[in-house]
Amino acid sequence: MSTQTVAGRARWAPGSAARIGRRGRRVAVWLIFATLAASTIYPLFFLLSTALRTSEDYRRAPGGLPHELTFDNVQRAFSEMDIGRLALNSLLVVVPAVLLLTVLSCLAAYALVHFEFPLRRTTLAIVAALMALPPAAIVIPIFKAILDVNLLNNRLGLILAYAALQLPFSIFLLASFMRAVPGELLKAAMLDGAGPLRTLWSVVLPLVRPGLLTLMTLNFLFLWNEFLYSLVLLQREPERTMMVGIGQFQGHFDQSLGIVSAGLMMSMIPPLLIFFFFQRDLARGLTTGALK
Amino acid sequence: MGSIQLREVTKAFPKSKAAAVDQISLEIADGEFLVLVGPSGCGKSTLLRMIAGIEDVSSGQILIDDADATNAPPKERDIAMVFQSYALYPQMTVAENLHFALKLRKVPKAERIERVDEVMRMLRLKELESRTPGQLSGGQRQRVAMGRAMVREPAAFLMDEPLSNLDAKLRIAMRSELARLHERLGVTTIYVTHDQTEAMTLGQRVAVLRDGRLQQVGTPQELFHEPRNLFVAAFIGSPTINLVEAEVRGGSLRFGGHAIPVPAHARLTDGATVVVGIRPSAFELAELADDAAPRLAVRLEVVENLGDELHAIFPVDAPRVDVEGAVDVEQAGDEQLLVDERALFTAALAPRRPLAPGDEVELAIDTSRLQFFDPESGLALAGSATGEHEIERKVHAG
Repeated sequence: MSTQTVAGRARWAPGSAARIGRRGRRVAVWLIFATLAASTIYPLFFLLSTALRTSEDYRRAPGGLPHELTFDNVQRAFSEMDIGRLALNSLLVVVPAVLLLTVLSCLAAYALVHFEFPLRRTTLAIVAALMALPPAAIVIPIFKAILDVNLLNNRLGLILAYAALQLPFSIFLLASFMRAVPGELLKAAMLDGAGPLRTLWSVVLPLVRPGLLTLMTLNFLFLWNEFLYSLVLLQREPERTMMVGIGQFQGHFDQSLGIVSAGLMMSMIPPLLIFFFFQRDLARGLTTGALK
Repeated sequence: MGSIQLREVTKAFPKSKAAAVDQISLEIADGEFLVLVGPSGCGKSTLLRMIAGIEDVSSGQILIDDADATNAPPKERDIAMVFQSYALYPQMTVAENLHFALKLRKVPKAERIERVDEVMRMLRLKELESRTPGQLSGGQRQRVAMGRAMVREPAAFLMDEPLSNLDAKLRIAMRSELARLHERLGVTTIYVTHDQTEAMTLGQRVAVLRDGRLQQVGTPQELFHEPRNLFVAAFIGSPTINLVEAEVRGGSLRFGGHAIPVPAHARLTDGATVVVGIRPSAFELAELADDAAPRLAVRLEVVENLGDELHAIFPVDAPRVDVEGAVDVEQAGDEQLLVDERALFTAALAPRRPLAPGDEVELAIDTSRLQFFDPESGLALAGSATGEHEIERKVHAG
């Protein structure tokens, strides 16, 4: 009887150990992902709860849930921080910069991928290498250049700086999409009578649309959140962009925290809208990277 | 009008030692259907692209309608091309694909619609007009690609293996459709293929290329019966020509234990070694042949019955004669499964009686159709079925 039991246990034990092992692994993985998710969600929760509660409420339990919701901070962000003007200032710089980047990178990537000219590969390699350059490393030379052309404290100066900053990444991203356009399509367009620009417009761009939307979205997000160049190149208060404006907002700490949080909360609205409208193209652009 | 002249056209790619296209001279008459055929990498597509203007010419001259077009941009050449991949604009509908070139050429809208409608009717594309290429089958895409070329009413069509992406049955159907279309439109057409059957059935003339060089240009009949060299002989014809080295001795051709009399038309020196080419169709079952025809007693190894024709394959106890690059690309390297150094002959016979592997049969040879080649140079010899003028050709072909 006992022998049977032992034998029975012996038969049962390996399966059970494996099951426990599997469950243990699953729990461990779940814990890791839950921690990662919490580390992303908690700051967001903290921001929203701080923005939507009074400063007294915040002082009572800084990390807890708000007792009652109020839009007082949002109103004060408009009146005291002038968040509407800051948002407009950001849009006036970021939208032209994104458009300029799109045009320039389209032309450059098209030429680098589909035309034969000396040092083409070298140019592509240089473009790739430039992506590794940290933006902070070239802020002084760019400041000097913008100063020299008399565009300091001018939105055009920041637009040009942004274009220079993001161009390598933009070319690199679009080039990967353009590589997927078969060369024979371009030859067919040539034979049909299209010049290089017409071919780009009518044949290539419609095919790299997911890439274009991905590029525009990523550039918008990056430039919308950009702080350093905006701080250095637009130093006057009337042109100040959103991130700099929020960052430099002065007030009593206990009161300004709620207003700053409200400002930051509102600064997330344009990127969220962009994600909402282009999420399908963005997912396609980020995952496929090719046509076919 | 749509005549095309190539004068010593050459294409050398910077990193390649040999020229991709080497001094090719050809004249294609207005309304002619010329096929460029050759194995993969022989330069036929490159030559076509040079004519289209999408590949630069390293040296030489291209004349379209007697005007120098060597350096003219593609859109000024009045030439339409059908690509192997069809190269249809994937984001445009069938109708938009057809309209595109006309819009670029600023053809008035009314005329544009009329021309596109006519082509769509002719190619049965009307019901597909609002579909995009991704929603079409291979055959339908091929028709759209043809339509896109036709709607421009160009001086010439260039076609780069346009049927190679279709399955075998559809390919044969489209082949005859293309021939009918050419008959109807009468537009100069240069057609590139590696498939010799396609070349022989479609071309009014066929130009055979190898390693960038023009081997021979002529009617399909000329290429079949009067090949200029071993390469053309081996490349043209299906089943492939039987080749064997033979010794000329005492008025006989001796190979693999067989001896057949040297035909009257052949002027071969006694003691010489030649390569003999025997078309599979030059064989016949002995009982059906003329009594005077020489016989070969053979033992069949394989019998392929195609219904109205029977291919009897038998070994000949003589070394195989391989002609480099003469096998279809699709079969390259696959032509032999078992190691056998002997020559394998194929006889294309009328299926008058059942034959099976292992059967001992007597086959008669029509010696008037034998072709002879120099084993060293591979050039056709005087006195082949090719006729006496071959001596002169031999000099040029070098």
